[in-house]
Amino acid sequence: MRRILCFAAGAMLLASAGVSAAQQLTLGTTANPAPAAIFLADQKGLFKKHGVDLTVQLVTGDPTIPAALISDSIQIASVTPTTFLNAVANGIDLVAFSGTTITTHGSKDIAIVAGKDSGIKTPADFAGKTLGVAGIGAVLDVMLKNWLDQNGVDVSTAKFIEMTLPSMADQLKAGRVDALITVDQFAQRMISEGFGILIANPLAEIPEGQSAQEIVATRAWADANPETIAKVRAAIKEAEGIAKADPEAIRAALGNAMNLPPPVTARIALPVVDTSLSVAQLDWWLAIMKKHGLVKGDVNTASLVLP
Amino acid sequence: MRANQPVIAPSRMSQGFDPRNLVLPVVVFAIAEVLALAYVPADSFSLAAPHDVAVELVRHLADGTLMLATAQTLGAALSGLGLGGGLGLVFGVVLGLSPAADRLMSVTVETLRPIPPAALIPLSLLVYGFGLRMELAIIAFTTMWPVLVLTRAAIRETEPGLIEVARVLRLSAWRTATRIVLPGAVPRIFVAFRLAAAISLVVAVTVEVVANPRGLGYGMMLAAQSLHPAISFAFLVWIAIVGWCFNWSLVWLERQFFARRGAE
Repeated sequence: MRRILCFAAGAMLLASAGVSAAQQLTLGTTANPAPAAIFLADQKGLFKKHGVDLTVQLVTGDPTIPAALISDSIQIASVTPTTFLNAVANGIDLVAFSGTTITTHGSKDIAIVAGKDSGIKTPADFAGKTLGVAGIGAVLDVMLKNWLDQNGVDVSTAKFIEMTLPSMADQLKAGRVDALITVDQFAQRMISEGFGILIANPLAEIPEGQSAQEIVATRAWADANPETIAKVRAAIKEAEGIAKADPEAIRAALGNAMNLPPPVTARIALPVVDTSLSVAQLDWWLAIMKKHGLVKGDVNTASLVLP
Repeated sequence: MRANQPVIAPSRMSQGFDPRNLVLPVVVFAIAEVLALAYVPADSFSLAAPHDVAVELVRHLADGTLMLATAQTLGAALSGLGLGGGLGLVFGVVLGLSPAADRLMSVTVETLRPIPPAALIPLSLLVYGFGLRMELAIIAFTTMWPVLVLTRAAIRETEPGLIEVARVLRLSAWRTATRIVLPGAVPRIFVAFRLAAAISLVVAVTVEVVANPRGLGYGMMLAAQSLHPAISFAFLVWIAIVGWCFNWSLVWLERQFFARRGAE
């Protein structure tokens, strides 16, 4: 009898795991402030209002998104320009149809923080140091290398090591890295607890208006679903209007979508929602990635943005 | 006959529960609690006090989050094990019975066997997308090899005298396999499944941490990314408990099937 119960329980487990969701449009994104327009549109019911049955699926890593698009388990996604351009360079035919947020000189979302005892005070001190990034070749890594380059530091003298964003504060405190590039909510703690020194907000030193993430789909899906894309664009555009009229609405949307602790939500640096997207924005990223050898092959950006 | 020897000594669980086993965990919990109160700030993004972890564990058990995630992870682990273990068993028996087939397949088996499961994640994601199938495929691939190799070894180690007997009795190949070889190998094959089962859970959680947005690994990762270390640790503790129960039930099953035969 007990054996029968065992097998029955096992069968039920299998059955519960095998139940699949009904077919609908799924948008994949990582949990971070850049896709703010999507979170806002989702929570305000704008996708539904424009006639799209869309579910936002949080994924744990940006680099998994192109494969998820190819396998059709998500149909559209908000990705970083580095993942997007690398996927295209590797022969995955993706196309972008909307922006999400852009950089401004006032943006404090990204910070370069040095350890108190690292001896780093000026950009020149970075030469030969060990620096922490979330992923080699990912957006923050590209931003840090570009900033070092702009400030006359030979990037090849520094050593870059990967670490997860939540562990960065402890790594810096323990002196395992001399400095790192991180996002606002983590930088705040390093600086307020006194073991980190803010060296720069790199977004303040690049031309304004760079695209933080793009909404993309495979070209085949985009060609087959122009009406759905138009509806998604309309919903995102309406969210942009809400964000421009009331930036605090972004804060609530980010707190909900990312399930952040309330104190973090309260002091998170708000991104600037701007859903326009141009080829020039992609070219800017591509040029830096090429300069630092972070993209292989050639990418024709002219065909990557849907009109 | 070999089959009558207990292959693995039934573990200490047969001696009943010893409360002294709890001393170490309780002491570690207490020390962690004191250290956390002294050194971990309440708003830490990477560490959490044990009592906060305990609260989150109870809360997520009560609201069903952990149960759903556990069903997803265990479902993938068990179905992957069923598929991979089944294939491993079939190939193991064939290769064990036929030295010619074994020689023919040896390069293939030895080339594919060391592929780390994590290396298959991008490929599986590309083919199957997010969801059960991608995870199942990787688990099946990973669990097939230990079952194949151990089954093959178990079959080969059949007492040569018994094969002689079969030959004298003019048993067909099929009857030799089902009457003589397999009964002797079954306890070892079960051990192979138990080892593969432990691997299946590890692989399931790994795939969920890295890519697949479902199950316990995903829940743990998402909690860490949304700056809730207590929830993340609660998932981790729960994964440990699930792993322990999983192994315990396999040892229990093994004893149900084989302990009595060993005592005969």
